[in-house]
Amino acid sequence: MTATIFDIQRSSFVDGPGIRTTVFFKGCNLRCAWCHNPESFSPEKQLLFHKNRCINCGKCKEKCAYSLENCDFCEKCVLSCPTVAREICGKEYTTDELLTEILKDKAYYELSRGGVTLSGGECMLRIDFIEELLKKCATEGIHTAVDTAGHVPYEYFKRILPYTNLFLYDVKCFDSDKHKHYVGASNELILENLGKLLRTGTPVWIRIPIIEGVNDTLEEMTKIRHFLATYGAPERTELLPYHKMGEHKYAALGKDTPRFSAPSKEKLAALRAVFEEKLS
Amino acid sequence: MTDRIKRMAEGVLKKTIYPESRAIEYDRGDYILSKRMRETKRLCEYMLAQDVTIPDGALLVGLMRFWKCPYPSDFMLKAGFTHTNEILQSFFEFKNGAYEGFKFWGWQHATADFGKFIRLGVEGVKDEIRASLKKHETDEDKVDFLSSCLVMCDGIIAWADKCSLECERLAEEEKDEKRRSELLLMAENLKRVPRYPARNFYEAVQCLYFCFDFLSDSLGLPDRWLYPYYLKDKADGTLTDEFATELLQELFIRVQSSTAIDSGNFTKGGQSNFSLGGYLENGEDGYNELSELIVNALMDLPLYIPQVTFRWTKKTPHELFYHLMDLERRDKNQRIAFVNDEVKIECLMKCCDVPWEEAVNYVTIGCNMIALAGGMWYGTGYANEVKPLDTTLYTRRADIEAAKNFDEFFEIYKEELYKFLERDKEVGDRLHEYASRDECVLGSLFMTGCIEKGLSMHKGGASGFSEMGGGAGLMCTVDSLAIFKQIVYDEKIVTAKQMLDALENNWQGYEELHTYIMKKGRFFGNDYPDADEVAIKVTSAVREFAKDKTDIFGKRYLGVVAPGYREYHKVFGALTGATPDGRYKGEPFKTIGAGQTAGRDREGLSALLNSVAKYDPTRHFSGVTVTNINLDSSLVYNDENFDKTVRMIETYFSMGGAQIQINSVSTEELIAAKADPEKYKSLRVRVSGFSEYFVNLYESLQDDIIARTVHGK
Repeated sequence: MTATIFDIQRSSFVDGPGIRTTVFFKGCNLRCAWCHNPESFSPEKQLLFHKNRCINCGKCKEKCAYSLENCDFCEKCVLSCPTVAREICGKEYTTDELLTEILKDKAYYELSRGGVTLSGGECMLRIDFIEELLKKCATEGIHTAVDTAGHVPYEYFKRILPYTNLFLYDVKCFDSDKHKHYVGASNELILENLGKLLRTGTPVWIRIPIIEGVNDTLEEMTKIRHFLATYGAPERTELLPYHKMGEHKYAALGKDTPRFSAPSKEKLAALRAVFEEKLS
Repeated sequence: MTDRIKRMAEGVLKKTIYPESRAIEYDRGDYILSKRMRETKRLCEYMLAQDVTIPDGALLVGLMRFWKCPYPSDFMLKAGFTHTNEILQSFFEFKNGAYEGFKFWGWQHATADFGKFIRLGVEGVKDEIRASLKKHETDEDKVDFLSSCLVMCDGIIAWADKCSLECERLAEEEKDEKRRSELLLMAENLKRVPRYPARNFYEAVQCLYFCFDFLSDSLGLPDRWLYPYYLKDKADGTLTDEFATELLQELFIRVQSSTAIDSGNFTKGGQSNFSLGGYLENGEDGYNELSELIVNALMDLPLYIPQVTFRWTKKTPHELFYHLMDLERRDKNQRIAFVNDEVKIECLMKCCDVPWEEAVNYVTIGCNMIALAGGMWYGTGYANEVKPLDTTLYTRRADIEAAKNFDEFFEIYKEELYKFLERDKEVGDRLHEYASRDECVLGSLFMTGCIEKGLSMHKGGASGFSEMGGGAGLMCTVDSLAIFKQIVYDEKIVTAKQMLDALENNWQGYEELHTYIMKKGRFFGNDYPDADEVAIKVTSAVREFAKDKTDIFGKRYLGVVAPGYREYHKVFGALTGATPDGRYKGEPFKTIGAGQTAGRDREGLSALLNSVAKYDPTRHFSGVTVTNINLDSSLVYNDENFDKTVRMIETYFSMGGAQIQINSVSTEELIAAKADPEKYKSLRVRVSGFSEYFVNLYESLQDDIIARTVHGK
């Protein structure tokens, strides 16, 4: 069994507690309009082309046995490119291969109380694979976190609960229609799963991307806050302002770049305050 | 900070507190004395002829500068040892080029054992000298050396008397009652120290202050030497932390002022690095309440030097380490460096045969090099470490083409390496022999072993180890060997012949191979077992060469990796052909210290640290390595992330990394600073175990820092 991984980020400080290795799975069943990892949409390998780095030397076309459109990922164009204009996104890994990568930083996890985070894309779509991987990590005594948007059958959660120490759970909008508009699916299943998950007592960190003009209102935050409160507060709620670091990737995939903005610092502080207020 | 200290500290940044040196005439009758005795006598006369300067409001006395003195005590280059200086002039500076195309010579550091003078006083040291005289009474040369030492001791006492008298004179003139009593106490102190053992904290600091100029390099181990006095006075209720802080701050201010403002070293910490914390003889961690007082006293001052190195041990609590790293990140002058005691002590014991009880008293000096208290890091030559590889690639073609695998290739390299090391050592030894003609009687008093052996520090009297050999470009060699192995023997992308052709043509016509190497090359610093093994192979080969070798004094011969704040990597790079790591002919080596080649670490911070910890040259052959990392400011200035950064370094240390220094200036800002130095005058970076203003660095060094991977972005 293999999975297509588009990045393994070692020494990550932002995907859960401590120092972590984050594994990014390709493939996602949502299409958040502001996504900063558009290369994660497709579960397949992809050839990226960074036009801004291309010097039009034509070497890639010279080397290509097929055509750049009909790619078999032979890597010849990538290797012949004198700049880094061509890149292959996605590599197959078995669970053992991934475990080897993860174990390289075990010493850092131990001292910082960190571990591994499975992210994506939607890593839960590869439930058989991650179940096996999480099981292996748990056997090695590694703290495990799963970063999910939750739009999967609850059955999947049940399968990995015994081997997962923490969920990083994305909540984007509380309003279902708005959710559907921006994310491509309504949020009933997501919220239902989150409720069930919180009831199990497993540690959950809520992550809310804050996009200007989409969900950056006190009303939106208050609704999420109240929803969470009915299930007992999660361990932590993080508000992550939109950033533009993924924009160039749209161009590299030949897609239109979405235009969103981050909220102002003041706005963000006000939204964060919603989660710090005492509930009446 | 008290107003008095604030005034003094701000003052020394503008103007030195040292008096003008007075040149003097000497007695021609001196020529009937032995050379050593003549120099000693003249040094004493010079000292006694100098003016006593007591800066406004000072509580400590004893500034002494040897600038116009023909026989200075100073071990370093500051004042011109006749022979040492002579060869330094033509071997150290870049103006003459590298000797035989691969070598520069000169640079040395020593840590005086001021603790002994605090403990025993000059009289106690004189007792030691007399005992040694008795032991060596049949050896004319030793008798002459030891007799000179006795004269020198009396010279020191006489200079202290002169200082004491000056305090009394000023007291008589003083109208302010409080100041008069201060001056009288100072006069009393100087009658006591350094002549006799210090009895309290004030006297102990006065002794350290007074002796500093006799071997003005490192303050050594003040948190050990001063601690018994601190404890006693605190218990007696005669010392407050406020007063202790004031005395320490006055001491630090004089250290700053001991470097000339226009010397180019004034804002650089390399010449006055001392240590805090670390293991004690009993195996406990030595960071105590005085260490904390010292570091806070230092951080409170707006100075550049002294700089301090914290010795981390496995017993250092996380909270303490965080606290010190936090102080460093907040300090705009970046004065705290961090080294790993576990590795440093292991190296001293394993590579230098120093027993535990002595090893725990090492001090970091200069670029985080190690010397024992009362020991030295004796003049090293900086050699082009890529030279043997260059010779291998460009003169051993037939042998390389006949080699069947990497091991055979490496044997050819090793032959060239050993030939190179032999010659390097030969040249170094000859220069040391020449330098050893200098006497250094004053400095020798402060070195462990000189009195006992009746031998000057420059002639091998100091029992602290010596360290020689080494240079710049180790990582270029490691990367090149690793790439050669990968491309020619493992992946078989090209034959050895084709690779050599590519190099000879400086990659022209071999652009695709060059691109492949840059993209797929398995460089060091990425936790790749192959490259790490090559690194260990190289350092082990050097160790193997060095292990039975001794220097001209019969001491262990050791290698170093130049931490580099000079332009060795550029000067040597210009003399070196294209290398398999993708470097073009004449390009500088893009690596400073023991870490990665700048920009080739791509697998994340932990991968880089894993690689360095695995091969760290300190463990294999030397006492000096620095490893540079650039971190995104979000990893440093966000508290939660910073805690993770601290834990990252703790993990690195517990795995065997020897030293680390962190910069968190963005690449954009560095580029801007290089282009517009006026605007970025206050931008400070860690360079070589110490910190300096970015705009003061050589251009090639600036480029190296700019090219480094920024982690955490």
